[in-house]
Amino acid sequence: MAAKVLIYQCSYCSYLTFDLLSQYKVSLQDNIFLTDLPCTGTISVNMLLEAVENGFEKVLVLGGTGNDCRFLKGSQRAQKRVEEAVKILREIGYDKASIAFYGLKPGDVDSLKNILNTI
Amino acid sequence: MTKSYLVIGAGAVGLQIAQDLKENGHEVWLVEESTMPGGKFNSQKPLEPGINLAYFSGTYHPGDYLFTSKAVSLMASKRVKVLYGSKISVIKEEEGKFYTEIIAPKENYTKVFDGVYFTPGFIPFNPEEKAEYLYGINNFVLTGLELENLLKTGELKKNPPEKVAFIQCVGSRNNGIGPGKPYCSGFCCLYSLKEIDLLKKVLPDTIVKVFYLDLRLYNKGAEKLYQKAVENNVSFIRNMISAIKEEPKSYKPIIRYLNNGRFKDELFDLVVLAQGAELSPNIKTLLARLNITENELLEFYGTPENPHQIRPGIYFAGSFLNPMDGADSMVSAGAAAFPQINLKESVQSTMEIKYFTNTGIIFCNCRGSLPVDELKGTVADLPSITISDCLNEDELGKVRSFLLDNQIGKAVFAGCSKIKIMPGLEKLAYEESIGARFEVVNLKEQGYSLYGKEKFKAIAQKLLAGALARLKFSTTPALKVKNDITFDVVIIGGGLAGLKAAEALTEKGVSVTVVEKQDSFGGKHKNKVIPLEGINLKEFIEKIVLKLENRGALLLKNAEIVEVSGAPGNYQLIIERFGKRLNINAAAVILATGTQNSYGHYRKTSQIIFQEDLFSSADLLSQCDSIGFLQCAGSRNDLNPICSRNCCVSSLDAAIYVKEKFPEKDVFIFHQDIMAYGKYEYKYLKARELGIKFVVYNRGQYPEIKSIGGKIQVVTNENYLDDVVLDLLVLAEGAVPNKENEKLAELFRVGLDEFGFLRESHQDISGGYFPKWGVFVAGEAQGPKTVREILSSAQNTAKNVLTYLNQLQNSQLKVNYSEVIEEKCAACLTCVRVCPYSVPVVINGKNVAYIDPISCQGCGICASECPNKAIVQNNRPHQGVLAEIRVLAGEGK
Ligand SMILES: Cc1cc2nc3c(=O)[nH]c(=O)nc-3n(C[C@H](O)[C@H](O)[C@H](O)COP(=O)(O)OP(=O)(O)OC[C@H]3O[C@@H](n4cnc5c(N)ncnc54)[C@H](O)[C@@H]3O)c2cc1C
Ligand code: SF4
Ligand code: SF4
Ligand code: SF4
Repeated sequence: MAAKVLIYQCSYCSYLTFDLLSQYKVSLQDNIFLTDLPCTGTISVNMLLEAVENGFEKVLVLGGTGNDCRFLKGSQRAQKRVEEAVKILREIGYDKASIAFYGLKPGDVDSLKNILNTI
Repeated sequence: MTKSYLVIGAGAVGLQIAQDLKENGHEVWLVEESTMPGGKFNSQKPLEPGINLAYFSGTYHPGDYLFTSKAVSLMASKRVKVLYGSKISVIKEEEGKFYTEIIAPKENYTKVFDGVYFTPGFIPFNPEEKAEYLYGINNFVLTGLELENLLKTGELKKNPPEKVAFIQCVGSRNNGIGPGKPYCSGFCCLYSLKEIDLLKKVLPDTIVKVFYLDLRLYNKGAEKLYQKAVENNVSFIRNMISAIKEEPKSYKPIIRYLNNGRFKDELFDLVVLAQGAELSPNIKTLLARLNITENELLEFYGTPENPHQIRPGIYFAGSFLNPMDGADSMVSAGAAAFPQINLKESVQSTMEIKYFTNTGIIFCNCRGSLPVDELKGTVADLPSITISDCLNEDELGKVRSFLLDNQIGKAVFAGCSKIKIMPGLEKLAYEESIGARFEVVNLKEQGYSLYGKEKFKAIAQKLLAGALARLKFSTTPALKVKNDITFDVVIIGGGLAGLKAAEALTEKGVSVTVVEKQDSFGGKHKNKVIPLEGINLKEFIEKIVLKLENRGALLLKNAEIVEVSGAPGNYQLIIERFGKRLNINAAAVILATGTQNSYGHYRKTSQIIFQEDLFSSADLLSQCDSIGFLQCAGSRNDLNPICSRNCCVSSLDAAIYVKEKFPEKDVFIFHQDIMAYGKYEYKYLKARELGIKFVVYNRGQYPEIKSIGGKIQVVTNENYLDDVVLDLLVLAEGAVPNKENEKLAELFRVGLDEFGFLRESHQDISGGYFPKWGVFVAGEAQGPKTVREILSSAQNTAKNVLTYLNQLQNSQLKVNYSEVIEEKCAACLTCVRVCPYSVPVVINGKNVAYIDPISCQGCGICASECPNKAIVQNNRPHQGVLAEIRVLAGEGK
């Protein structure tokens, strides 16, 4: 069975990009789950680790780029938390899962496709 | 006082006006001829990957996203009646009231209104009326609209043209002769450039040639498209074509045009006609019933005080008022609504909120396109309902009864994107005083479309179960009342925009402080005595200042803002004045810092002056026999890439002013593209009629200027024209972003665009907003504008501020906010430090943090940073997120 992937979108930026992705003839596998947060800044280290613990082998957090963040610093915060979570995984020597943050301009479907291709 | 208004046309503009009127307590009927809202933007719904057709404020958008959430919100409201597929069969004005009969699909209505808003947009000119274009005869001749369709559906790729010609001004700028209209349609240069951009994206090797008279790319976004077109080797040919013929065998169009003084015939695979704006016959009939003639409408541009009102109770707005693009139309919408927007008289400080405890599911099958029936009852045993259309009043009515009948306090909406539906759901519950919390599962864009038919059911079940799991932990929205609000608005910048916004707000009883850095008000327009757009600006500004003083506004000259703190609705600003610091509280702040002048590579002499010098001294004109105007001296060059928008209108006004006073004087205008867009074209026509001479030079190739024997000689390089000798040459300075913008952006935490102007939010397309609550922008700080546009922008922003103040002072259901659990809080100040909006404060004496729910934006940054987990993000508690993770990770559903 394919590895389970959890993708967190930001309601204000990457959510729109996913909406736009629907025009493309993209087909997501059913091991990929999409959900959203009011702002990626909502994400906590705890949530990221909990996802890994529950069997997600990839957790992606898709926020905005520096300037575009609706909440000004949400993406920056999210990026930091992802880094912290990655560090914890590394420290405990767990290498079966990966966590990553990507910053996207709202509507930048091409970059989104590239990210999805890496899954 | 509550009044009832009729809005004719549910395009982006009609929707915005209906929303503004409704939000401020009026009853609104919105009558739309077609079966859908959104007007032109609705036809710009994307179908083909990557082809988002609506180019709005410099970025591409899927057309439907620009208006759908607004439309759903209106549908969801009981105070607005929206009638699609309907027409007004009778309209009569009697003693200030409007008696109407409306024919709607299900029912006919008679209704009396206090006022009528005309927002029917335009219909595209039908090129068949000008037989010379062979439109309708030759299949290779299309309209811009038809090309958009081919791009949208991907048809164009199936039959890729190698060579495409764009012909501008079809049906516009007809000089009053023949079919079409004398005005410039304003948006067709923009949309042709947009279509070229998209065409090149799909078919990069296509050869494109554009035949035009003036490229009227007067806004920032249009300039970006032009730069790209030049990079893509698009040829621009400044000539109207002489004829189109058919190649006898292939029937392909051959365009004949003048090229270096000779006729040239060139074969194209496709010819695209940039059709302009026409009035629809229906609207002409309605206007006739109100005794408004077509000519009156064509030349109507309002008075500076009342730009949208043609007669008391009758308003025009959007592209119907004056052909213009989407972004400008939205500003016009807000300015047109402004007179009807007032501060609410009665503060509604309490409200009976119904808190229901049941959870339910609302399915929407999206006009039959989603197989939601497969899901019903398979995930949870909860009350549910299926509707078929979120843009339908009756269907949304079913949701209303569903919530009430089943006492639903929490619900999952399973249908389309939450961007489209969420504001409408919240509005619906709010109007019924239901404290409801919604979660959306996007089965459409992010479900069915991405996973396909086979995987749909399993994925949808999972997502639905996940949403229900997290909903369990969310709280219902709380009723919050803000009592301590002050109605003080601070306006930074006392130029035309700032003063006009101050005038508009004080008229409605808001108290205003204007902070101006210089030692006088009026900014760059303060000394202008030659009428500009019919206004003697010096007097106009003096009058406003006097009015503001009489109304008790605080006008601070020589003052500068140095510090900002506090939260939306309650900002504390520190103003520095003559070394002293002044504390001012503000519910809202308007940034109106305008632009600075750019003088290009020119320097002033006694005979070479700038527009600012000319306009402030009418005497200069009487002293000389020949006057020239050099356009774009400080714009569209290496120092300032974009068009400054107001200098062509200024030169036209000045030139007409001289010529009317002293017909014997010679007046020349040297220009690249004369930016007499929209109804400004009438000025251009008048100038030509008066004998003002227009001399074209190519973009960036400024004519050589020599000083010889006390005269100025302008070398034209034109073989039909000798060099021009002048007594006075007036250079058009350009408008560049204010250097202060960077500081302001930093202080108020708002963004700048790539040119350095303050970047407004596109979350709401109505213009003048920043993402940050309670901070607004007006006038040229956002981008170059003409005087009339500055006034409109100021009124639109004043409208936004009033709407915001009304929201603040009334009780609101606060949906998105975080809350401190006092027992857990250690007052460590983490939240105070991390909140991007500086909302959390530690209450003196109590030693715990407090988050004002009204100001809180609900981003949750504090909640996830708090070391003690003492903050709950009510709209998405961490517990809920964790529960959802477990559901999504689990096997089965
Ligand atoms: C081919 C083309 C491409 C364009 N591309 C862009 C672009 O990319 N970006 C941009 O910013 N602008 C673009 N524009 C301009 C843009 O369409 C307008 O600025 C914008 O639509 C104006 O909005 P509106 O609400 O005033 O009018 P509209 O969008 O035209 O809406 C008017 C509404 O009124 C309804 N109506 C008309 N008559 C009646 C009646 N008698 N009774 C009831 N209802 C009536 C219509 O059905 C319609 O729904 C383009 C224009 C064209 C022609
Ligand atoms: S915007 Fe004006 S100049 Fe450009 S094509 Fe339209 S009518 Fe012509
Ligand atoms: S003179 Fe001003 S308005 Fe005219 S084209 Fe140049 S920059 Fe634009
Ligand atoms: S959720 Fe927290 S960080 Fe975000 S705006 Fe509210 S108080 Fe500030």
